[in-house]
Order: sequence, then C-alpha cells, then structure tokens
Amino acid sequence: MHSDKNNQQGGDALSDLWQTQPTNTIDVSEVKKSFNSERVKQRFYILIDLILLLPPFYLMYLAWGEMTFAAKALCAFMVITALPLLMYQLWLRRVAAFTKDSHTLDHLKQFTHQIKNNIRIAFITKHSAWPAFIILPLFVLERHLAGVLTPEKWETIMIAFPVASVIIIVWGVWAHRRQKRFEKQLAALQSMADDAANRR
Amino acid sequence: MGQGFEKVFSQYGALLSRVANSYEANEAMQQELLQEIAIAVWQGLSRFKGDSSVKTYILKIAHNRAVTHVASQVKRVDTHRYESEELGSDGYISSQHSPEAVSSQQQSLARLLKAVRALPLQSRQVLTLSLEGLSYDEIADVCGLTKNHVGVILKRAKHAVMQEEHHAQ
Repeated sequence: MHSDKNNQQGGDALSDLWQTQPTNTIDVSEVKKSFNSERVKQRFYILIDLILLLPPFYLMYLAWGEMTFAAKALCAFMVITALPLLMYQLWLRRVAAFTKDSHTLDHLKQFTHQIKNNIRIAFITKHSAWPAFIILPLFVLERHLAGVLTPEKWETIMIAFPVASVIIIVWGVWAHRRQKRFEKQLAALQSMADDAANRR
Repeated sequence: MGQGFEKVFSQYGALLSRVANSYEANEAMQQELLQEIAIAVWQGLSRFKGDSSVKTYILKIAHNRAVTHVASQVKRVDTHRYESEELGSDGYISSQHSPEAVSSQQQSLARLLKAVRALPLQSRQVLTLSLEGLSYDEIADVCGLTKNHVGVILKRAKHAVMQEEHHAQ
C-alpha cells in the first residue's frame, strides 16, 4: 500500500527543502572532553555512594561491643534500610550511564520507568529525613538511660542537635524539589508516550 | 575508536544537527543538544554490530537522546521563554530583517521547521527520518513501528505540514 518509491517521490520537494537548512558543527574536541569527564563523573558518583557507607560501618565496628541492645537494633535498622537503597542507586547509575540504542518506543518506556524510579528514590530520601528527628533523640535517650552522658557530652549534644536539624531539613527540602522535578519530567514523557501509543 | 568516530561525524554531522534542529528552536539549545547527541553516538558506536546501516543506528541513538533531552528540559524554566522569543525566527531567519530581505526558500524552510516542531513526537520522527531518505523498513526499525503504521503516520504528518504551508500562503 505504501511503497518506498511513493515515499521517495512524495517527499522529494520537502526533502530537498529540509536538506537546505543550516547546520551546526560538532565540536569533536568538546565531545571527547565531555565523554571522558562524564565517565569520570559517573565513576566518582559510584565511589562516593560506596565510600559514604564506610564511616557508619567503621563506627559500628569500633563501638559494637559497648552498644546496648537498643543501640544495636537502631544501627541494624539503619543498615537494613540503607543497603538496598544503595544497591538500587548503583543500579540506576549504571542504567543512566548506558546509551540506549533501542527503538524510540522502547526508549520511552525505559526512560519513563527510570524517571518513576527516580521519583521513588527522591520520595524515600525525603521520608528518610524526618525519621532522623526521632532516631537521633532515641539514641540520646538510650545513651542517657545507659548513664554514659556526662554534662560535657550534653553540651556537645546541644550544639550538634541544631546543626543536625538544619542538615536534615535542607536534605528533606532538596529531596522534595528533586521529586517535583522528576514528576514534571514524567508528565512530559507520559504525554509523549501517550501520543505515540495513540498513533499506533 | 576515536578516528572511526571522527569519520562518522564528518559524514553524518549535518544529519545529526538536523535531528537537533527538529527538537530545538533556539540555536544555543540546538548546539547543546547536538553535543549531547554526539556524546551518545560516541558511546553507542562501540556497541555497533552492523545489524543495520550506520546511518540508521546513529539516527536511533540521536532521536532517543533528543527525547531524553526534551523531557529533561522541563526543569529549565527558561526553555519556553527561549522558544517563544524566537518562535518564527528559528535562529535562521531573524525577525529583525525585513521580509523583502529574506528569500522565499528561507521563508518556506522556516515554516517547515516550525511545522515539524509542532508535530507530535512520533509524527515528527517519522517525517524527519523520511526527509533524510530512510526507507519505511528503516523508519519502522528506528521508531518501533510496523511498516504500515509508518505509512499512515507519514501521510498524516506530510498533510499537516503541507496544510501549514497553504495557510501561510
């Protein structure tokens, strides 16, 4: 019904006009630079993700013997929630760094899926901020009940708490903004995908 | 890989630039998208197995990259401002120039680009791939459509673009 020959003939005038448009030049040296820096950046992010997990593990290793059952339970809870999140994050980074050569409909589906994942991560990150307001006082309470909080340590806590609170609030706001940004991206993608699906 | 990449760019650089032009109206954004496409093509070429022509393969990567780019632009609040300011000029025919100074071909090209960018994603993709001389089979491969769907979409897209042209005249 639709032959390639017809396509060629019908599109000749438009095609000729299309080919006359001015084009930009690819800056090859800039592409090489960006390609290399992007590769380094992705590796750096993966390294940071992994390194950030080391200090808490090290501190736990040092203090595990002196911890009460409640403190151990809190630490175990944080590790159990943080590890799967880290694995997920690393998987997403790998997917994001991989150039897609699938057809466009597939790409739209995969990309939509990825953005949905990003929304979930931002949502989890956001809601992992406010429990810190509960977990931190619980730690202090546990230390207090264990009778190890001297007046000097209370002074340190009084300084550390407001600082930690500000960090947690900034963290939560940042995650909320990321979530909103990804939701906008998803809306744009879904409108493209719907349009594509309606035309099939 | 570096030399092969440069050869591909010298051969298909203009083609990739036209892909960028079909998604972005602003010249600075076109250049930005073109660079993004070039990086994606660089990455993709190392995995090229020769199942299709190089042209089809890089067009597939280029359109995917452009789709990602368009979706990512929602975070940039100035994108619409950019487009609305320059809509009609397309970076090629400046609104500063008098109509007399602009050739008929340039006006037609500006209208064509404007009409192409106004098309929905799939129609835009099918039409521009056809204008680049790809066969129905190759277009179907890039877009993930059947050959018949390509024909239907192409017919509608051409009709929409031609109508724009008639309205303008």
